[in-house]
Amino acid sequence: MIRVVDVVQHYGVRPVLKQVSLEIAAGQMVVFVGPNGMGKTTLLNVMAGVLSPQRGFVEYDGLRRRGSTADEIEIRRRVVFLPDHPWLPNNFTGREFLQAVGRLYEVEDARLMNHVERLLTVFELAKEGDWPIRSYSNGQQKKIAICSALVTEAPILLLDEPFSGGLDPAGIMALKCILRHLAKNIGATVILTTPVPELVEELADRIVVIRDGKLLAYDTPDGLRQRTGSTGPLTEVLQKLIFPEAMGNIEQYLKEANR
Amino acid sequence: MIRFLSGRIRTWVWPSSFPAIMALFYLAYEAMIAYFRWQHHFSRGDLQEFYGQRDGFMLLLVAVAGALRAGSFHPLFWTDYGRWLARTPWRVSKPLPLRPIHLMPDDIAFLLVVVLLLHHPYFDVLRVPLLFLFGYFAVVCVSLWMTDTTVFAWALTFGLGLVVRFWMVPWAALAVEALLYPVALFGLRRSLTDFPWSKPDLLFDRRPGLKLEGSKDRGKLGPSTDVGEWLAQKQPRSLGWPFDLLRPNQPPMGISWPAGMAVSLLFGWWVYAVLANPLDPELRKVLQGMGLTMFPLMLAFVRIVRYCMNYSSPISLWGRLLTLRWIIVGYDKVFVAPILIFAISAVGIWLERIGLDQTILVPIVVGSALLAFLNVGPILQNWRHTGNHRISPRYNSKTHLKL
Repeated sequence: MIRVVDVVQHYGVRPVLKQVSLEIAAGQMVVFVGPNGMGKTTLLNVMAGVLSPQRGFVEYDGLRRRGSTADEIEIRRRVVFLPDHPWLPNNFTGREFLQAVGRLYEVEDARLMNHVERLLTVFELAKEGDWPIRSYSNGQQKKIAICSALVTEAPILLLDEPFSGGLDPAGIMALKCILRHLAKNIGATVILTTPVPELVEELADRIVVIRDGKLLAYDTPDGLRQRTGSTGPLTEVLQKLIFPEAMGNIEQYLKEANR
Repeated sequence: MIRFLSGRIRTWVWPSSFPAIMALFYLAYEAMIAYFRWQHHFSRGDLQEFYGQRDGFMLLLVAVAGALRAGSFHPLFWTDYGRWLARTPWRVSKPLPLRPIHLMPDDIAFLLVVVLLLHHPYFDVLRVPLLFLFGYFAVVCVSLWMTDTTVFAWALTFGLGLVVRFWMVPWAALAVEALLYPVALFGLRRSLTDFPWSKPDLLFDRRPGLKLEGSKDRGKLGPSTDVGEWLAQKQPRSLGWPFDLLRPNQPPMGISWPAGMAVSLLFGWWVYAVLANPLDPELRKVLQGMGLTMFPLMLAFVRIVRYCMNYSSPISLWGRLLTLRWIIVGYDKVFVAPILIFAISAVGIWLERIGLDQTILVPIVVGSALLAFLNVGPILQNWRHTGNHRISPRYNSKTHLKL
C-alpha cells in the first residue's frame, strides 16, 4: 500500500502540488495523466524521494519516505524510479550497465544474467547490448534505461513517461506487455505518467488526473466514465475532465469557420 | 590513489633496479662536480651548494626507496599478486613467496652504501636511515589504515608525528623510529593475519598492474569463472542517474565521533610537530597563515560541496524570500558546520592579533576546524537519506549521457 498524504510542493513561489492525497493498493497499475506542467512528474518525484515536500508525506507499507535512514533504505530496496531523462554511463556496454544495476538491487547472479539476456532480446538490443551506450540511438538509450528499471525486479516501479523519448512501436508493445504482466501476474505495483491519454485505456487499473497541482480525479476508467456521463473512449472522458472548455472552444471555432 | 601510484611506479621502475637508478643519478652529479673542479679549479668548499643539491635529491630518492621497500611486495598494493596469493594456502605463519615486507640485512647494506657515498664533512649521515625509515613507515601506516589494523595505525601515525617533531635533531628522530619499528612489525603481522581482507575492492580492481599468469583472461567468462567475481570486476564506478543517488545499498559514509576526535587530535599534533621545529621565518609565516585561514576555508568549502552537491535547497532562494521561509531547518542545518569552521578561523585570527603563541594556536585552530568538519552533524548518510533537500543530479557529459 502506498499512501500519499496531504502533499504540498513548491519549487519557488507558486505551489506545484496542492494538498494531494491518494492511496494505491499493491499490484495495481496506476497512470498519472494531465496536461504538461500540471504536476504529474512532480508528484512522481515526491513519491520517488527526489523531492522533499513542504507539507505532507509518502508512505510505502507504513515506512515513511525520508522518515529515517533505515526506512529510506528499505523503501529504496523496494522501489525503483525511472526519470524521464536519466543519465547513463556512456563508456559501459548496455549489458554491463544492466548487470551492475541488477547487482545494486541484489538480484541473484545467475538469475540476473538470464534476465539481462531476456530483456536485451525482447527490446531488440541483443547485438547492441555489447556496444558502449554512447553509440546507442535515442530510442535504444530509452530502451536500455527501461531495461535498467525492469532488471531490478523491484516490486514497485515509478516510471516517468516511459513511452516517450523515441521508443519504437515494438518497444512500446513490449513495454506494455511486460508492465501488464508485472502487475497482473507478479503483483508488482506500477505507477507511470503520460501526457497521452490513448495509452491509458489498455493499461490503467486506476487513473490519477492532475490539473493545476490538484487531484482532479482518482478512479477506475469505468468510474471516470460514470463521473463524466460519457460512454465514449477514455480519450474523450479525459478530455472532458481535463479540458472541459476545449470541446466547446473547438465547436465554436469550427462553427465560425463554416459561416 | 596510493595503489594506482604504486602500480605505476612498479610498472616504470622495478624495485630491484631502483638502487641502480640512484647510482646513475649519483654518478651523473659527481661527473658534473668533477668537471667544474677540473675546468674551473673550484675547491670542495666552493661547490658546497652543488653538494647540498645532490644530497637533497639523494635523500629524496632514499625516502622513495623506503616507500617502495614497504609497498612493492605488499599484497595490498600489488593487486594481481594479492589476488593470486588469496588463492594459495599461504598464511601469515609462512614467509611471503616473493619477498618479505619487513626489513632485511640487504636493506642495511643498501643504506651503508648510500651513507658511504654521501659521506662528507657538511652532511649528517643519520639523515639517510632517517629518510629511508620515514618512507617505509609512511607506506606501512597507509597499509594498516586500509586493512583496518587501526590500533597500530594510530600508534604509527602518532609516532611519525614525533619523528617530525625531532626532525632537526636526527639522532633523536632516529631513536623514535627505532622504537616505532616493532610497532610497524607487529602491525604488519596483525594486518597480514586477516589476509585475504574482506573488502572486495582491495582485491578486485580494474587498474593496471603487473600481470601474473592467467590474469589476461580476467575479462572473459569461462566455464570455471566465478560469476559473482566476474560481475564485480565489470561493475562501473558510476551508474548515473537515478541509480547513483537513489541506490539502496549506499556504503557507510562519515566517521564515528571518537574516530573524528582522534583524527583531529592527530592532525593538530602533526601541525604542532612541524611548527615546533626551527623553520625559516618566511616559511613559518606562510604555514601559520595557511593554518589559520586557508585550511579552515578549504574545509568549509569541501563540507558544503560534499553535502550540497546534487542535494539542493527544496525551494529556490527567490521562493524562500517571497514565501517568508527564510530558514528551512531541515535543509539549512548543513551550514552549521561551515559557519562554525569560519568562526573558529576568525577567533584564531583574533587570538593571533593579541599575541598568543602561534606554535600552540595554529594546531588548536587546525584541529578544532577539522573536528567541526568531521563531527558536527548531520551525518552525511543520514543527511542524504532523510534531509529536507531536493536531489538535483549533476553529471559530467563526457562520462554520462543524458537521455
